[in-house]
Amino acid sequence: MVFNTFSYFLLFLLPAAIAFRTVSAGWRPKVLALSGAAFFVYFSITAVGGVGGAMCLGLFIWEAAVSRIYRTGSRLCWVGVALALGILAMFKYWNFATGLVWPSGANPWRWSGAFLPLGISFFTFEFIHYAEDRRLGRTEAGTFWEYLAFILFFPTMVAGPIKRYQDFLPALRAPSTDWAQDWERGITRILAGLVKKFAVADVLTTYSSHLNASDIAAARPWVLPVWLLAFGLQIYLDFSAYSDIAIGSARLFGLPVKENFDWPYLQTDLAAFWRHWHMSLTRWLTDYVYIPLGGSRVGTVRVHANVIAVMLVSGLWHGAGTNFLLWGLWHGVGLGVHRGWRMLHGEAVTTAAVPSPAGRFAGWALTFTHVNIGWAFFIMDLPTAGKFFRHLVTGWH
Amino acid sequence: MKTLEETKKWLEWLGGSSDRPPSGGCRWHPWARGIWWGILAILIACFCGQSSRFLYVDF
Repeated sequence: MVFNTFSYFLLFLLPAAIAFRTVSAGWRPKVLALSGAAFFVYFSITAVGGVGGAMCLGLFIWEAAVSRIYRTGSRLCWVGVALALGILAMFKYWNFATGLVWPSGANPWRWSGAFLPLGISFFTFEFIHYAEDRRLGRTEAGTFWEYLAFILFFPTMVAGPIKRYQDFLPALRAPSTDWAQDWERGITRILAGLVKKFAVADVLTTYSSHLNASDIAAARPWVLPVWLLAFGLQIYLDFSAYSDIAIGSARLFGLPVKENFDWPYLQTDLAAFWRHWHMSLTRWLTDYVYIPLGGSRVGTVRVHANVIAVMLVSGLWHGAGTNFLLWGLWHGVGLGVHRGWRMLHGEAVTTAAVPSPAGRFAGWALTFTHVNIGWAFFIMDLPTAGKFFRHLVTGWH
Repeated sequence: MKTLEETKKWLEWLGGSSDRPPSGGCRWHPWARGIWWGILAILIACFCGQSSRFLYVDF
């Protein structure tokens, strides 16, 4: 992947960060936009998407041009939302959606040459955020180059965190000038992220790679939870390592990027888990799906339906597959049960009560178990996950 | 709980995600920073080169 290559550090990160810090203020957005464009083309060709993927650079330029028409209160902002959703639908969900209609494999609408443009799941969500926040007057427009710098900022392009323009723009205009502190903390963060990725997450592949139909059938039932726990730990360390490298890289430019993880596996309820896991996505889903659906201001049944809808969207965002939908449903139902439990016990849903140590431990154990069972639907397709649970519970193959 | 919170703060400092060491701690001595970076670099060198992809989303 991109962050564990010498090309990323030597061809892109170090030259771009040094250039950004040494050019005049007017050139800074251009440095970010041009280095991001070069990064997108290089890694599209060498890693994913090929030449077709590289040509998707045009999507960014088109988006930056179209974004100039967005005005507060204008319905033209929906053009940007529709564009982003259209890009996602075409590249990520076309074969999945048509495959649901023609599941037998004889799908006449199948796009055999389908590919995923680099970072599509992340940059489309930033497009939607900007269009909607411009419509609601929550952010200023900035210039063409400033917006292009925002959407092409390469440290966060591939794996997030999903940024907000109103956070990015002030930092772009007045970045930190404390070279020594930024580079010391940034390099430490990048090195720590690489250690998490290489020395722990990748080593756990030894166990998690057994989560396939043939290995599950041959395994003793007691080893299955160990493999699943290994995957749960691996996916956390892998993704949080990418966030570490992205945030550390941004720090070299003097640009702060918000945290994406805050000890999620130590949380004692499922709602807290989601407030601490992939925090930039949770905030995005809250602002652009949950609240427009009515959020918590509607009746109890509608609130539960909204939560489940948000988690289904979250599941589909993670991957185009029915297993990801089930993973979203698993968490949506879990959040609904948690909400119902708190309401039943008279606790305000939004305030954090302080349970006893035993209660905290029970909450942590329940949350940890729920999340890790859910990973089975994330890593395995539905038939394999079915075999996994059948073999785990009954010992049958 | 206090020990856990203190441990988290130290790990965040050592991992570069906080700017200041936990209360009572001192800033990096240049030698200490060099040794810590050296340890991290050795670990990276020992474990890199494995087949590795981004697990979380397919872009």
